[in-house]
Formats: sequence, structure tokens, C-alpha cells
Amino acid sequence: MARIAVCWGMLVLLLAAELAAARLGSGIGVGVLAVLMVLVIVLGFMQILRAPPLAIIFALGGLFWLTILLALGSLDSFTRTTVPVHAAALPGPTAE
Amino acid sequence: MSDGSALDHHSPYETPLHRDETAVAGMWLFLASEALLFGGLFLVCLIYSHTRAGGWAEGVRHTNLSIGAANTLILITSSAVYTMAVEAGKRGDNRRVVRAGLGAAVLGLTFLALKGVEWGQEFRENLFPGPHFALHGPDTGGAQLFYSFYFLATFLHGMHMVVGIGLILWICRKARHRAFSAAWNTPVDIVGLYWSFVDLVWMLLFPLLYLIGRA
Repeated sequence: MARIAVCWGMLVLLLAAELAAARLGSGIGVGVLAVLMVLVIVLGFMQILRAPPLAIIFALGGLFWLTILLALGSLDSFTRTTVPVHAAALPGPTAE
Repeated sequence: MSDGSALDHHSPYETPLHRDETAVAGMWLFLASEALLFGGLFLVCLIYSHTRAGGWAEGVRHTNLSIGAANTLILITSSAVYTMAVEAGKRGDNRRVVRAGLGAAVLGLTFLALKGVEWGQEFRENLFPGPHFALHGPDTGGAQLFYSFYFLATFLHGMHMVVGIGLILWICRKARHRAFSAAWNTPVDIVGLYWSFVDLVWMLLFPLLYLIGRA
């Protein structure tokens, strides 16, 4: 019971901190706080550390494939160089 | 979960503990597949919030932060309340399982009702992507992409909520018939994992839909 109350309190505090970070415009701060909230849920409510070893392997496997999905999927967008093209430089319609 | 005493020879499991641990591991495997389902959505968000940053942020600024924050608090509380049902299940206290389960389900329904109010507001304001989309200007494309993500993600999450509430009510029905004991309460535990996962997904969706890019 105390564990649940502590986890609930931590989540409420983290939510308040998240709202404050958003007001300050800190996207990274919001992201870090969201990850902390996820950790509180996984460790406090879902109690992954008390789960059977096979369940822990499945959870880590899910996290691994999720990382692969996000990293490889976003690689192109985050590494591509965008060169601005001016309208004047574009070829106009050619006369027949 | 239960002790390690042997099951009868027709069972595929060696002991009740083996049976219960297999069920818990199976739920974690299902949740890993769910993480990849929502992972695709998060990937879309990651890419378009970067390549169409202006329109995406404009979309974020138009979401209803009060309802979003209230719903986050409701879901946190619902998850905590259902975890009390899991603890009661471990003690074989069926009455408390029913009470906590119903509390969690009511909070889940409140979340869905508020989401419905929010969606209604957004439909009235023409924020659903299409030819009559309300936000105009150079970033309208990015804003439409944001709202496509917003409606898809909240619908998918809402569907998971509906399934979760159904499962909780099923647990309550079984607990009313005193189905759980200190020796066998695996379904209460497994539904708790699912409900906490639905909560966890919202903890990631909330900042993406309401906070990052708002200031």
C-alpha cells in the first residue's frame, strides 16, 4: 500500500514538473520527465524486477526492437541536408 | 501467484508456479508487441515534428491542455487504484479486488468521457484534417499531419482503454464470485500489467500531443 502511494505521489510530482518544463519551453526536460514517469510505472506498478526471468527477457527484447525501430526509422530525417531552392533558380515552362 | 506444488500429469505445466509464471511472461510478450505497435506511431511523430516543426508546434498549441493534464492525473490514479486490486488479489481479498477494480474502471470511463468532450470541441473547431481544416497559412500541412497523428493515436489509445475497462469488469465479476485466493490470482495480476501499460503509453503520448513545442 505504501509502495503504491509513493509511486502515485512521485507520478503526480513528475506531472507537475512536466507542466512546468513545458511552460519554460524545455522540450528535452519534458522528454526526460516522461521517461522517468514510465520508469516509475514499470518498476513501481508493473514490478518488472519481481517478474519471472522470461518476462524480463521479453520486456528487454521489446525495448531493444523499439530502439531499433525508432533509431533506424528516424535516421534519414535527422541526417539529411536540406538545401533551400529559390523560385528564380527553378526552370520555367519551355515554349513549344 | 501460487506455490510450487505439482499439478496433475495431464497439465502442460510442472507446477502451479510454472503455470502462473508462463501466463505473466506471455502477457509481457504481448506488451512487447504492443510497444512496437505504438512505436510506429512514435516514429511518425519523431519524423514529422522534426521535418514539419512549425505546423506540428501549431497543432500542439491548439490542443486542450487542461483536459489533457486532468486525464493524465486520472489515468495515474486509476493505475494506482488497480494496483491496490492486484495487492488485494495476492491476499485473496475478493471484496477489495471488486472495490478497487470498480474504482479503476470508473476512472477509466471518466478519462474516455473527457476525451469525448475534447474530440467534440475539436470537431466543432474544424481541427479534423480535411478540406475545411481550420488552421491556415504556410504551416497548415504540418498542422494537418499533427492532427492526423493526434486523432489516430488517441483513438488507438482509447480502444485499448475500452478493452482494459472490459477486462477489469470481468475481473470484478469473477471476484464477486470469490474466484481468487492467495494461491491463485494470476488474472488480476495480468490485467494489472495491461492496465499499467495503457497508462504508460499515455505518459508518452501526453507530452507529444500537449507539451513539446507548446511554449
